[in-house]
Amino acid sequence: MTMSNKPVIWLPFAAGGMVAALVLPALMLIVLLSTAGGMHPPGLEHATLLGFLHNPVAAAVLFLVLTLPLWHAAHRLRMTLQDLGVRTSASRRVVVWLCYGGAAAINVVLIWALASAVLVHA
Amino acid sequence: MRTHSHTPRMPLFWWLRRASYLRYMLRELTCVPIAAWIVVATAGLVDLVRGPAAWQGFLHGMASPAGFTFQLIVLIAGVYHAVTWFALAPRTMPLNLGGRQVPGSWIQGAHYALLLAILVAVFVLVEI
Amino acid sequence: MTERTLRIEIQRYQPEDDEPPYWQGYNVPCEEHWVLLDALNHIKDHLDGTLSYRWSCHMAVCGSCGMVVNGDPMLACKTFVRDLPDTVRVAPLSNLPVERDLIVDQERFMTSLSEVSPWVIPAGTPPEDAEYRQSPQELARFRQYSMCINCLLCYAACPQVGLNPGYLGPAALALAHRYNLDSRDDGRLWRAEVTGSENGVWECTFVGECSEVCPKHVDPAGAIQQMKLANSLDWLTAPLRRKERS
Repeated sequence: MTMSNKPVIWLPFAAGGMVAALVLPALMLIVLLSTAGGMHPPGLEHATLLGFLHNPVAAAVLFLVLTLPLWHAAHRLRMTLQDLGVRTSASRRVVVWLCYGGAAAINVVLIWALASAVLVHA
Repeated sequence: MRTHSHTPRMPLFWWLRRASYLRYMLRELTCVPIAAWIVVATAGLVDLVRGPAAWQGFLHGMASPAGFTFQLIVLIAGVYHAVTWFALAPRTMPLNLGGRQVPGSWIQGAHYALLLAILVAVFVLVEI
Repeated sequence: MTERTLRIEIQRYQPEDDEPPYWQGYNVPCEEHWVLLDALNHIKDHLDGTLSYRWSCHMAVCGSCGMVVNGDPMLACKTFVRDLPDTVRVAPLSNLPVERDLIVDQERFMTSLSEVSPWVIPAGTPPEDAEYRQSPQELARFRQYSMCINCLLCYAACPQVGLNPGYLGPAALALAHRYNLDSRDDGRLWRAEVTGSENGVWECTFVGECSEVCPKHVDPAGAIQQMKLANSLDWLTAPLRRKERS
């Protein structure tokens, strides 16, 4: 047997799970209260939030906070689909492409949006 | 006499057969709402960059009955993920300080404390 | 002495009959202090001598009498009949091939166990006129994992064992961890070739049922997660080790 390269997937999975557990509930709650909850925090006004994300450090932090849990979820979904019955090597390959490919696609959009916030809007 | 053993087959719905398996599957499936929320948040950031009107549109969408329901489901999933993650953390990274093992409940508690601190920090950041 | 009649339905299988497994029921008068193993022995001695099952110590140290009772993996010698309902279904350990009645083929575990090198691999030659010294704290690090009696209840509990025939399984991996944590041992990187392979720790998704059913309170699930972390850190530092060697 040879050592697998699984750590390249597992380390982001573990980090993403930790970020998802520690940070996402706060963000989810904030957005829930600020939309359906009827609150209007100044920090989520268009100009304020965009100005905040103009700072590359802030944008980078938000990127990590969103991308790590995304990879975590992609890997977890892949493993869960295998638990749920995806067993053949062909179907597994499809699942791998869908999960990690889908996450990669979302990452492209995310990077574009955050890069725009940093670069375009002064 | 060559005899053969009987190899049992794993039923397709093996995870419905034990309560603990079902809890495991629910825990794993939290990844779907969480991923969905990140996708929606990404769409929100796109709207933010597109302009004030698009951003308002995004916020209004999230305030709709469908948006509220979605956010509630996602929040429940997010909390269930956090609770199960914190419960398992002490077993993944046992801590030895001064030759004694730190109680698992302390490690778990530290995670909850951090969660609370981050919650407060985010609330302060957006000036809620 | 109060007696209670238990209806015990047992999954029977005779390979020479070329028939699938079937259930056979027995009405067993049980004494109050009995464990399930006593009931099985009563069946074998008085009701049906053809019933086949493994047992030995009758005190939860040999690991022979593992079976699935009303869906839960347990040791027959540790299961008191007073804790059981009036009807009990007894099946062989799940996820493993059944040789006969309640006897499973353990070869999968024996192979997995030997593959993880479950012995102390010292750094250098042992001390000549002295013994290895180990403090109580050093012992405490791995003691829990040394309690494994190889009963295979964890293999019956783990869905990944059932879903992936190549998976090394909870007990073999927990025993690898026992040696990795032993202060006298220097074999972690050697074992990592096996524990860090595709059929090693990476097949585990932390269902955690193995640790729930373990009669000796070993935590194989925790052991495996700790090995995932250690393995990942070894993987990250591998380039540094290659540099050291060259």
